[in-house]
Amino acid sequence: MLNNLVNKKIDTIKLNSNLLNSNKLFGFWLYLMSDCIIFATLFSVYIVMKNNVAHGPSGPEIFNFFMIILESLFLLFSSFTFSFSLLNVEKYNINKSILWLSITFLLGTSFLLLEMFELYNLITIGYGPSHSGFLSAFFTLLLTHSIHVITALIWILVMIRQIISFGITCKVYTRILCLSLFWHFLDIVWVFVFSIVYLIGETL
Amino acid sequence: MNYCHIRNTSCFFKKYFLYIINFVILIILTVLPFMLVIRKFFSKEITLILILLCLIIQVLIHIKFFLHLNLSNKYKWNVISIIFAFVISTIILSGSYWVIKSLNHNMYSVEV
Repeated sequence: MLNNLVNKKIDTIKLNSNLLNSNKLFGFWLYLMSDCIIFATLFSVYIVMKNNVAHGPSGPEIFNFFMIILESLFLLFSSFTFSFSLLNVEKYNINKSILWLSITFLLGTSFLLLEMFELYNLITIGYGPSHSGFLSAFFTLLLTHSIHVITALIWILVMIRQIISFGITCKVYTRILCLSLFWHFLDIVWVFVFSIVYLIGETL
Repeated sequence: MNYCHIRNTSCFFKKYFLYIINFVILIILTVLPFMLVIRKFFSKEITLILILLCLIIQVLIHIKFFLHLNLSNKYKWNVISIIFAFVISTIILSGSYWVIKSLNHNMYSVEV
């Protein structure tokens, strides 16, 4: 009797958590889509402002391709380590998932530092965001992406802490799934950034 | 309660393997356009088309294997929302490009 009751209760919890899980994930997905529209707007601003250099530097004069390849590879690799972490979370493998999350955090931080270094260099040689329309659009786009990355990095630290304190519960799992969507979304936006801003800017 | 219903985990190593293959493909697709631009193998138009092709393939791989999106009934609304976002983005991009282009045309500005 008691056993039956417990089983029934577990079933309801399972059902509810599944429902909750999918609702939260779908809500987060909708947020990502609206974020996608923000980035589309910023890209269109960049494309419109691309030729307004105001006697300052144009794109190809300030891009450092070695740095950009390095940044792209860091971010791609971090996406990859995050998937490994997710696979380990699904196996309830706490130590390994924390290890892969930490590696993701380190890779994301190195990406961010490289990008900040690049932008800082531009500002120190006098090509700050107030120099021309092109540079304003460029800085706005890159810094919006960087702010998203900073948010995701803080979120990764919070998730590591939550895994340590709570273990892998349903809530923590949902949060990690949301974080994984966010992190991969940032990687997709970066693919657009390096293709449209850097490569097409260089070609045209 | 430490109970959580988690996705199918039976084919753990198969998943690892799949991720590694995807990773290699993505690295190639990332480095290839940079090489095309730096070394200037082809003319501008062909380089542009190749860059866009690499971009589209990369995004599709990301959506399929990292965001785990597919066309099943479970993800119907996710697909609908991604299509909606795509339509809005296209309107914003093409619309602003069109407006600015005709603005430049009507102002007789000097082509840069």
